[in-house]
Amino acid sequence: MREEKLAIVSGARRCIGRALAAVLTLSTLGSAVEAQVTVVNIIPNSRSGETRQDSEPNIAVDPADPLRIAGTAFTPDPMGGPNAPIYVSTDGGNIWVLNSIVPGNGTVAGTGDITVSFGGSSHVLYAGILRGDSSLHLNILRTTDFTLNNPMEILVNRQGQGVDQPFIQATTVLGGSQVGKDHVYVGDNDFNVVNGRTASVDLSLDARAVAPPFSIARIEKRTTCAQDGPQIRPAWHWDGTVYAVFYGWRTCNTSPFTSDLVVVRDDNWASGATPFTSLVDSGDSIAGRKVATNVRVPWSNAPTLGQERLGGSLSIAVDPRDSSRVYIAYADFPGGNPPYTLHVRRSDDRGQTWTADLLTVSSALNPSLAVNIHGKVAFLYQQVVNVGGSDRWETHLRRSTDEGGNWNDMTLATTPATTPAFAFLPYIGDYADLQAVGKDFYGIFSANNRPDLANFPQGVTYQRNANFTTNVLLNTDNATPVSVSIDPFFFKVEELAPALDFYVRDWTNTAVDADPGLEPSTDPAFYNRSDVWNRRGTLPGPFPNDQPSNEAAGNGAGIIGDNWAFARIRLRAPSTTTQTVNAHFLVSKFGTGSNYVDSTVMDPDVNLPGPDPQLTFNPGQIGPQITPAYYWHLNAVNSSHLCLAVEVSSTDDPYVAPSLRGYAPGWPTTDLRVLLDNNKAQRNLGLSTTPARGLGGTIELCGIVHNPATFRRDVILRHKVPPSVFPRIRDGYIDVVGVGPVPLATEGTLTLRAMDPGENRWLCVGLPAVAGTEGEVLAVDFQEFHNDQPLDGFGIGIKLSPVEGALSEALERHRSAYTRLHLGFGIAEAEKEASDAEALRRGGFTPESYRLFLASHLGAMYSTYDQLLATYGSDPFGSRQKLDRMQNLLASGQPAERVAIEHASFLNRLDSLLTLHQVARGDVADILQNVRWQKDLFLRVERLTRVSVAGSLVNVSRTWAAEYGGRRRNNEDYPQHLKIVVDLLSTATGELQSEVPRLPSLLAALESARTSGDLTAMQKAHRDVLLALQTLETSGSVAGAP
Amino acid sequence: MSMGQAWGRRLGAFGVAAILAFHGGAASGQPPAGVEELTRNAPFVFRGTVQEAGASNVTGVPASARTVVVRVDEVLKAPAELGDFTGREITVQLQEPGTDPPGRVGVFFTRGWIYGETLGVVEVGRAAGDPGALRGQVLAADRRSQDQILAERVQGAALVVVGKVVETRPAETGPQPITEHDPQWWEAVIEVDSVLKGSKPEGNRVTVLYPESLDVMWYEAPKPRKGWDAVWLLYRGQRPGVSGEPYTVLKPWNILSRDTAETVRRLAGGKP
Repeated sequence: MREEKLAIVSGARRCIGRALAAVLTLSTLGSAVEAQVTVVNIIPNSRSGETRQDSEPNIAVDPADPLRIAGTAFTPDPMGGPNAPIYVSTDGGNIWVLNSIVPGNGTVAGTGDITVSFGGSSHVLYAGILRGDSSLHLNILRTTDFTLNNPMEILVNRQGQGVDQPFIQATTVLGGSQVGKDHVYVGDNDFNVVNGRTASVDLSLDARAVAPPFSIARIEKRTTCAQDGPQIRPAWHWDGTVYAVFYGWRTCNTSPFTSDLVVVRDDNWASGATPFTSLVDSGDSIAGRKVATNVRVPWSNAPTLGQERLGGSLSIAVDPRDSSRVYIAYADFPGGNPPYTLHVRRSDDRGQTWTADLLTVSSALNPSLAVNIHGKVAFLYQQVVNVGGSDRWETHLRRSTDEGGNWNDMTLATTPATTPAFAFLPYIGDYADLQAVGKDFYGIFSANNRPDLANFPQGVTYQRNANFTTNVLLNTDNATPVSVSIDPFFFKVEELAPALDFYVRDWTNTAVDADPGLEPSTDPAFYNRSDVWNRRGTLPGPFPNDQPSNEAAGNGAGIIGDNWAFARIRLRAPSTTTQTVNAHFLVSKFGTGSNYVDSTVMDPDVNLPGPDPQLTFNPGQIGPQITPAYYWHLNAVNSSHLCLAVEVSSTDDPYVAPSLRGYAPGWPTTDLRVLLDNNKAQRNLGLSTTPARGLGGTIELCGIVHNPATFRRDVILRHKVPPSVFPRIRDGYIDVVGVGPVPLATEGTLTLRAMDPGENRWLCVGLPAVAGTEGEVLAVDFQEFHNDQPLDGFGIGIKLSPVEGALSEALERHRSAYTRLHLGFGIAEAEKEASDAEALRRGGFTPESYRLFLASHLGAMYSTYDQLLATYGSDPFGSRQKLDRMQNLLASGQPAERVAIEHASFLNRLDSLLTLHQVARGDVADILQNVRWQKDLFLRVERLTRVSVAGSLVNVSRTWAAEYGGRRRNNEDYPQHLKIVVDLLSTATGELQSEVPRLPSLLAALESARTSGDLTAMQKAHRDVLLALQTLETSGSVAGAP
Repeated sequence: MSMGQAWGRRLGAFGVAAILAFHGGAASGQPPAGVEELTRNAPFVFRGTVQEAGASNVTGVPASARTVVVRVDEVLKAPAELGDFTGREITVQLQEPGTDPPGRVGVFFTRGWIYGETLGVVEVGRAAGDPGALRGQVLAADRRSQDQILAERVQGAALVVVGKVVETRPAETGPQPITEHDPQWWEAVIEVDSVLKGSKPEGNRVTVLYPESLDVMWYEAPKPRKGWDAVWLLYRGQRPGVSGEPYTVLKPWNILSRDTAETVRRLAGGKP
């Protein structure tokens, strides 16, 4: 007969928590490695005889397989068929073919305007086109395989009064509530509106659906001169931020027109009822930040600059490390006068404020911006330069590793601007294109195709027949000369050679189905099959299906808390030199929003001793190699689960800053950092379970909820119980400590109101000890939401297990809790409690000896508890009631497994109480959070922005946080930082005297803590100062941007 | 070179092409209906010899039981844009796998797929018969097909006239969106010599709209100039974004050389 068993498990589903504060401004880590540049004329050899004007190119690289690239240009189907061609490469851009799959081929140019973009992991290619067989006729298209001969599927088909310049951007959502969905954003100028506010974005939040829903967001909110400019350029970030930039035309009677340069933003994928209204202009309080006003945009639909027409040029790109940082490029006639001039600007605060020009380039057009995962920004443009009396089109790629402060300059092409004579407009295009995938940049431009190496300073490869000695193009017979024309040129700038690119897999399914080091990696469940793992011994363990065998982390004193971390590291290609790679391990100890710590944080509960393990890769090796066992120790902690992470670095391939250290696990901040950087990996670890057998009664488990944001906010937790499970645990409850219990429901929402940055609260779940099958898990799932996006999730449940295991786990938990009470809180009597429990568990026990143990130790349990309360004063968890209940059960002769339920529940509450008092003294894991919060306060709180030292405080905070993120600063540098903070704030106490009268005393306390050398005390004193300053924030609960 | 000069050359070329096609079509016998339809539907028809079965010589066309590498022995029908592939080996994806062994000589009716190092084409159908006989049938069918196209264009026109442009001027179109694809409508006034189809216009003059824009979407459209003397196939209702139904010329074949007049008159159903 099957035995009915019961146990409790704190089920880890994924690492949780989210740093809701804006990520800091950080300098990129420049690499000394020389970039590899490839330039290819993509006209296929079989088209060697063509002389068309293949202008206005666009490009899409499949981020899930960067070997797959699609290109477009004004190229018609060579056989005049019904579909226009796209350029296709499946080898990373070396070989290109034409594949006619775009509906509506026109005989001159194939399509009208066309732009393309791949979804993320979906491999789906999307296109926004104006059909070639009609006028201003929008189609939005898709194909699941762009190499096949099937016409692209039409998703949107709209003409009416006309639609202009569809510019498409697509992605697959990597996390949050819409994970796995393909999102498509098409900026276009839609003349079907009646109010002249034509700037629009056609969008779908599920473009892979059988019949994908599309909607139109009208992003112009101001009065126009009858319409906006034709360029509407969207840009998304993986965290759900979507920007768009456009020219808001105000007068358009006489060229140059007068325009506002407008940036709009949405913080949740444009999924709400009022999309693109998150960014409000401080001047007129209307959605859409006016980056510049009175911008004079020429309108010349005739050959004007190097045979090209002029009518506005825009580009926008978001830093993948930080959605707050966004770049734009735009063109104008400065002051209303030629030359046509490009400007590049940057915002670090989500579009609210903008720098002056980072770059200004005259007589140039076709700007395109992209930012790689290291934050390196690249800027593509084409400029007319007079050389020796002749105009030439120069195609430049400029790159910056310091957010646009300094730029290098690479000339990709320098070709005659006067030949060939234009056939139509645009001559070389109204746009070119640039895209970043991982570390690399991919781009496309059109230019005169004379085969002359002097015209291509980075070198060039032609597919079509050409003689570079005689500088003559040749027909398919490789003999007949062919006239010069305009061709599209692909280029790739490989910032880091694969032979230098170390990576740690984010996922492995089998030996042949695994993460190849893509950035971002493609599986959102990166946290349970990655190549960082834990063992309870010094051997790495077996690899079934090529997957590491992770073991749950031990926690407690001595060998109970000893763990060993491992990482498996690979190179993307064999190296020709010997390279050393370093593995840096991190742990997030508490489950809900607790910040990562590492060997430098000096956390009292997590000991990660240095130095970092290193591996040497000899020439020819690609790995995998497994790091030597890295010992780490976890003291007894109360948590539903924890996270282990690794950041690997070599001289040429550093991890992408910022580090995970000091940030909480969760979507989108650290989750994205792991996904985007193949040098980082993370794994969730479940703690040892606490099994018990119950015959009635209620088992309680508690979890900590930490606010990792830099502003006060309501923390919203949604919980669900699977319908199949709910009937069995319907008598359960959820107890928000300090608020009171609510009955369990199949689903519901809890709001923890107005949590301050770094504040902790507790959530307990009581579940009836029901009977069932061994190994069965009955769980309640929680997810934290912000802006309707799930940030994180965890589960608390019960697992059925053997009786002896249940009692053993209760004894182990007893040992763990009393060890904390002894070592962490100085209660000597607790030491014997811990050792006796350990002795019984190890020596063997029976249900009766377990009952006797409890009966004989009740006095000590009460005594030590009373001592704790005598020192710390309060117990919001009501642990004593659980102890009383356990005593009553013992007295009434209840069986051991029934008593064990109350025993475990008491220990769980006691453990939470210990954690509460522990973190109330301060938490070194929150030191970076304090510094980020400090910076944000003086940027965000209007009163504080007016304090004389605000700018200095922001700067020192930003710099320190950036250096901390780059692991060039550690917690040991915190006192030095606080010295500066105290000095600066001390000079401002007079300014804030009436509003924050406690400030002087709080600063004195901070200085005292600083000089004590106690980092925990410093963190708390610093937090007290920040809490006092935060009272100047007028709104109580800030729904600020993450 | 001005746009007028450029257009003048193009006008002449189209006119000559139309005449040759028509007269050529009258010279051959009627091929089987299957060949007629296949020739119409296949832009690239050639006589070729299978070199290798289950193979491909084009990146992007995976070798399979349906693919064969074929040497193009003679091109029977191809758009000029494609260039000359005579003597080159290309890959054909067959309708039925395994039907063409190496050495087979046949006529292949195909449409385009991949344009790479060489061509990858898709077979659209197959006609039975000796390749030599098929060759003649295809050539005849192609000529008839071109005649048919001209006939359909004439039939689709609302008015067909022979006449000379006496004036061009910007058209009054009312407010239009400002876009780089603005057609920039102009009017050409044609003094009509004769009417080949439709009613004689009032005052013996007809006004037609045409896009003067150099934009990629309108570049192909004819830009009439004063003095042009031609056959005009005038259509209605092809002016996007503008109400009313004026006559328009938007395609190169809307204007034919004057010496096609009798052919066009016959196609329009009139007497010579």
